[in-house]
Amino acid sequence: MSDMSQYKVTSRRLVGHKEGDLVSKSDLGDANIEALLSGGHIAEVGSKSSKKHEAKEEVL
Amino acid sequence: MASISFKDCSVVINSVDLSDRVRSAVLTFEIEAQEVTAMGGNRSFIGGIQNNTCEVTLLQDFASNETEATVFSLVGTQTTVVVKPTSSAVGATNPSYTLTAAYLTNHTPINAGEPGAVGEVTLTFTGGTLAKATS
Repeated sequence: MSDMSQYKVTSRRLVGHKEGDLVSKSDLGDANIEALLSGGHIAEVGSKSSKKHEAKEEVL
Repeated sequence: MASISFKDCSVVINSVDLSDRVRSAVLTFEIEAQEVTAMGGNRSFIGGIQNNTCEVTLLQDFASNETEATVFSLVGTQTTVVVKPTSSAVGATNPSYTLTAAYLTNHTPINAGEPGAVGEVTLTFTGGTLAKATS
């Protein structure tokens, strides 16, 4: 899990974010990311480069 | 002069809003008293360090995103807990209390005290630094 990791919000409970939002570690402040992952509140979607790749795929 | 009846207390643990699972929330702000009594004087104290606790009872739920999944990985770690009297926006009559670096010692995932008992989890967060905000 690097600082470049991107996460998709998978929960309606995460404060300040909507389900489906893409967030970075910095967006999550001092939250315990491992706990958010195991709780199903976020899911790792990879680095920024993979996010860019996914966005490109969506356009196509 | 208003009184308040708690019906909509807001509790956020590790950035996760569990307010609709809350049965009770008790936040205690304490600054330890350090005695500085000198000979010939009466008992005298000065403020020491914060010794805060936040005890929250939640309805148990084993589904993803719910109580158990949110809490389990926090045991043995420090986290942030935010408590407000109501879920409304922060303001002078609805202050927020943020307890940062609060330690969660334990959690009781199964708490079936008697047949038919409602599943509840009581969490006690200790230590950390408490800050109050009204805006």
